[in-house]
Amino acid sequence: MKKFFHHLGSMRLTVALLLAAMALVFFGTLDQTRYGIHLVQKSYFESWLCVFPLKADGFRLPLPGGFLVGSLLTLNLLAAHFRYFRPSLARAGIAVTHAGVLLLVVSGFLTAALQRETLMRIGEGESAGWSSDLHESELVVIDTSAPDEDRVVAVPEALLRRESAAGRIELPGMPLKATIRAFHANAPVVGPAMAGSLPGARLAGVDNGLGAGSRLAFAPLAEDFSPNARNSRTALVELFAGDTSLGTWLVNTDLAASMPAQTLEHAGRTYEIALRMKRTHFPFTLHLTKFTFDKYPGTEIPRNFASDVIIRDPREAGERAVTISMNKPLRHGGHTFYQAAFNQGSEGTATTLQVVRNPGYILPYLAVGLVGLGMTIHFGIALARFLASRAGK
Amino acid sequence: MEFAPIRLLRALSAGLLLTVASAHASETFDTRAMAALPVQYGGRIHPLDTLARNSLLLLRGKQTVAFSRAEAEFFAGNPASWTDAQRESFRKAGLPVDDKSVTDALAARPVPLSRSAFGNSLAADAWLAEVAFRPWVARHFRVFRIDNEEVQQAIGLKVADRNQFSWAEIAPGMPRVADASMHASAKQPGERTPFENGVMKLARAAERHRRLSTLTLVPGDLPPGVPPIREYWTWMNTLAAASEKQSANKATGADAALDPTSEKILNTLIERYRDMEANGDTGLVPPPASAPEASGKWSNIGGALLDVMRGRPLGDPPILLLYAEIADAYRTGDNALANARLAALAAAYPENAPGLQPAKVRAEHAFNRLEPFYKGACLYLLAGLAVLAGWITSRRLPLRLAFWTLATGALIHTAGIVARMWIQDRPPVTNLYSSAVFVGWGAALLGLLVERFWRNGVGTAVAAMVGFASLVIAHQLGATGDDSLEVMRAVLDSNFWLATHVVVITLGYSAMFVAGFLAATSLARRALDRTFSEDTARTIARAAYGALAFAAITAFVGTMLGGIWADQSWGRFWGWDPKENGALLIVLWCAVVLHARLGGLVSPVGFLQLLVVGNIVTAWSWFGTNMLGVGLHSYGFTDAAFAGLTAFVVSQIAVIALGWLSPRAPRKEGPAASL
Repeated sequence: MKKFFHHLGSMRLTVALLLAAMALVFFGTLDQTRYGIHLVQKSYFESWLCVFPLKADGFRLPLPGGFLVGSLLTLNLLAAHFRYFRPSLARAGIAVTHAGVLLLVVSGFLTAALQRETLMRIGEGESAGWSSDLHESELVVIDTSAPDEDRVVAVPEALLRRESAAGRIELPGMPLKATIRAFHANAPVVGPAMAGSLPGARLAGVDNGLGAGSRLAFAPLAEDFSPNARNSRTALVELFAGDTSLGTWLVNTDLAASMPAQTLEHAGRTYEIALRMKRTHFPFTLHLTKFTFDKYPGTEIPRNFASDVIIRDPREAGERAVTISMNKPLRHGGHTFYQAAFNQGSEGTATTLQVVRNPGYILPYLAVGLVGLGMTIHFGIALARFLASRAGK
Repeated sequence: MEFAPIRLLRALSAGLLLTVASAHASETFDTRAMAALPVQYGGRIHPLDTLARNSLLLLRGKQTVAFSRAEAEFFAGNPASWTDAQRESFRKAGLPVDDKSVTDALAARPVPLSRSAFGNSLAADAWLAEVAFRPWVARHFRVFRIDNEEVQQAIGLKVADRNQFSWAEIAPGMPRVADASMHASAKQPGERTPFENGVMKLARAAERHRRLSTLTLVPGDLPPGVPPIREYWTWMNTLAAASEKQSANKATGADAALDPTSEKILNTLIERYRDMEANGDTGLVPPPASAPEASGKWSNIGGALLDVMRGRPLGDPPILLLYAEIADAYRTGDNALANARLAALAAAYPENAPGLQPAKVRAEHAFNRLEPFYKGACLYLLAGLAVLAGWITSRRLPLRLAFWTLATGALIHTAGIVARMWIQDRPPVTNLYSSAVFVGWGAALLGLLVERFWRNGVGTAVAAMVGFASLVIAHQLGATGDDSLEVMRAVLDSNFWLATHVVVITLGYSAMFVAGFLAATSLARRALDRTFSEDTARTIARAAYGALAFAAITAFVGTMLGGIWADQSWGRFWGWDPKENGALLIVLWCAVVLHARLGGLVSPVGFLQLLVVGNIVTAWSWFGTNMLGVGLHSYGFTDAAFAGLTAFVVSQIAVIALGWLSPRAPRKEGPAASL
C-alpha cells in the first residue's frame, strides 16, 4: 500500500501522464480533420478511453481518454503534495501553481458535465423564448386542443436510437403510445420524383401525414461529423391508442423546420407529431429589432455582425434593449448569448445566437490567475537568487 | 492660418519648379510619386505601391519582374535602331517584333528597366505603370510563374527551359484554366491535387492581371490610339445632351427622345460602367466628406463615371481625369506633363476624405521601399557569421562586432514592427506573417539579454539564428501576395485580445525557440568543438532553463488568455480547436521538461535534448496545426510550408542525435563530465 502510494505521488508518473496528455491532444487534433471537433471532443477529451483513428480498420492506437488522464493527474498531484510538501516560501510558488492546475482540471470536468450549447434563431421583428440543440433531436407529440396552452411530450433521441419494432413508448398524460419503426441519424427526405436520382433512396411507405400524402422518400446516409455538417434526422413512427394502430408517420427535422405541422385527430383531441432539434425553453424572450452586417468598404470581408434585441423578462420590471455583437455577448439569467450566424433571404433577416449555459464559467478564470501567480512567484524567486548570486561575484 | 509671405513663397517655388520641369523635357517619369498615390483595396487605403508589390508577389512570388538579356534589349531599346540581326534574335526569343502597337510604344518610351549584377529587372511600381497605362506592352512581360508542369501543359505551353510566361502566352489557354479552377474550388482545400492548386493560383493571378490592365487606373480595353480622356468626354457630352433634353421636355411637356445614336451610346456606356463598377476592385475616388455613406467605399473607375449621373461631377475631385491625362502623357513619352499631372493628382485628394490618412499612406510607401525586415535579416546573418568567426578563431573582437551588428538589426526590426503597428492601428501580431516577424523579434531580444549576461557569443548566435530564420519564414509567407496588413475579420477584430493573447503566446514561441536553439548550440558544440568547456555548457544550460521558465509562463498565460477570449466571444473557455490544442501541447511539454529536470529523470544532456524536442512541438503548434485546415485559427496554407516543416523536424532530430555522440572536448575527471 505504501509502495502504491509512493508510485502514485512519483514525478515519473507525472511525466508519463503529461506525455499521455500530449499524445491524446495530438492524435485528437489529427482526427478532427475527419470527424469534426464535436465528436472528437466527446470521444477523446470527455471520455475514459479512446482509440486513434476513431473509425478505421486495421491498426488503431488505444489512448487514455481525457477523464482518465485528468483524474490520474489529480491523484498524482494530491499524493505528491502530501508526500513532499513542507510549508516554505521557496515552495509556495509550486503549491499555488499546482492548486491552479487542480482547479483547471476540476473546471474541465465541470464544463464537460454541465455546459450546454444551443442555438436561438430570431427573425427581424420577431421574438423567441427557446433555443434548439445543434446535435440532438427529439420526437414531440403536442396536444394542441386547449385554446391557450399546448401539452408537449418529448421523447429524447437516445430512446429513438434504440428503435425497436416491438417496444412501445408511453407518452405520459396522453392516451397514446409510440413505436419507433426506424430511426436514421442522417437521411434527407425527398419527393418521389427525386427518389430515383438519390442512391439508396426508398419510399417511406407510411400511411399517414405528409409522407403518405406526397409519397415521400428518404435516403439514409452515414452520419456526417464534419464541423459544418447538417444531419437530417428521420424516423418512422407508429402511434397506438391502446393496442389499436393509428397509422405510421414519417417525421424529419428538416420537414419540421420548413413544412406545416403534421396533425392527427384522436378521441376529439388534436395532436401534432414532429421530429425536431431538441429545444430548451427560457423564462424570458428576446425580441430582435434589427440585425446589422458591416463589411469592409469595397470587399466581402465581414467587419461586424450585431443584433439589437429587447429582453422581456417577467421577473424584471420593464424591458431592456441590448446589442449583441462579435466579442460582445449578452449574459442574462445564467445564460450567455453570442452572435453566431445570420440569414438574409427572401423571407427577411434572421439572426442566430449561440446560447451557452455553464454554471462553472468563473472557475477557469480563478485557475488561470492562480497558475500565473504561482509560476511568477516560483520563477521570480529563482531569478532573484540568480541575480543575487551574480551580484555577489 | 498660413502667412501670406509663405504662401507667396510657395507659389513662387511652384512656378519655378514648373519652369524647370518644362525646361528639362528629358526628365524621367516620376514612378515614385505615382506609387505613393492612395487607393482603396481589400477594405483599406494604401499606396498604389503596395498593390503593385502584392500583385507581383501573387503572380511570381517576387517584388520585381526579371528580364532575360534578349527581353531587356527588346523592351529597353529603341526600335528605330534595331539591326536586322537583332530583329531576328528577338523573333527567335518569341518577342513581338512585328507588333506595331508595341514597337510604336517602345519608340515613344522604352520600358524603364534597371540593370544590376543580378540581371535586368523592372520595379513593381514601374511595372504597374506599364500594366495600367500600356497593357499592350505589358502583356508581353513574362510575369506569370507556373511551376507545375501539368498546368503548363493545360495552357498548351511546351517550353522546357522556363517557368515564366507572359499574358500573351497564357491568354489562349485561360478558358481551360478557368474551367479547371472552378472545379477545383468546389473541393475542400485539403483534398486538392498540386495541379488543382496550381490552376487555382494561376486563375487568381490572371484575374488580378486582367483587372490591373483593364479597370484599375484607366479603362485599359481601348485601342492604343484612343486616349482614355476621349471616352470620358464622350460620356460627359452624351450625359449633358440627355439631361438637356430631359429638362427641355419638362419645360415643354413634350416627350422628345434623344437622337438614336446618342441614345445608343448612352446605353452602351451605362452598361459598360455598371460592369466596370461591379468588377473593379480598386477604389480611386474617395466619397465626398459630406456623404453620410457609412461604408466609406471609394469609387472605382466605373463607379466614379456613374457618379456623374448621380450628380457628382468628374472634376470633383478630378482624380479620374488626372489619371487619364497621366496615362496619355505616359504613352506619348511626355514626362514633364506626366509629372506635373502626378503632382496635381497628389494634391487632389480632399484632406478630410473618408478613411484617408495621408501620413500613413506615405509611411507605408516608405516602409515598402526601405524593407526593414529584409535589412534586419541581413544583419542577423552577418552577426551569426561573426559569432562563428569568433568561436573558430577564439577571439573576442568578432563576438563584440557580432553583438553590435545584431543589436543594430534588432533596432531596425523593432522600427519595422512599430511602423506596421502605427500604419495598421493594431498590435504587432495579426496574422501568420506578422507572427513570424514577431517571433524573430522576441528571440532576438531574449538572445541579446542572454548575451548581456554571459558574453560568450551563445546568446548572439541563438538570436541571429532564430531572428534570421523567422524573418526568412516571414518573407516566404509574404510571398503569396496576400496583403500582410490586411483588415481583420469580424471575430478577430479586437485589439485588446490581439494585444494580450496573441502577443503573449507569440512571445512564448520566441522563448521556446530561444531555449531550444540554446540547447541545440550546446549539443552541436559539445559534439563538434574541441574547445567547448564544461563551464560554458553549464552556463548555456542555465540560460536555457531561464528561457524555458519564461516560455512556460508566457505559453501558459497566453494560451489561457485565449481561453478567456473564447469565453468572452463564443461562450466556451476551451473549444479543442487545433490551434488551442497546439498551444496546449507547448504548455504540456514545458511541464514535462520542468518536471523531468526537477525529478532528476534526465541527465544534463537529456535535458538539452528535451529542449530541442520543444522546437518541434513549437513548430507544430505554430504551423502544423494550420495545415489541418480546421477551426477558427486556420488561415490557409501552402504545400511548400509542409515540406519546410518536415525538413525542420528532421534537422532537429539530427541535433538531438548529436547528444548521443561522445563529447569532442577531452574529458575531465569529476561528476560533471557527462555534460
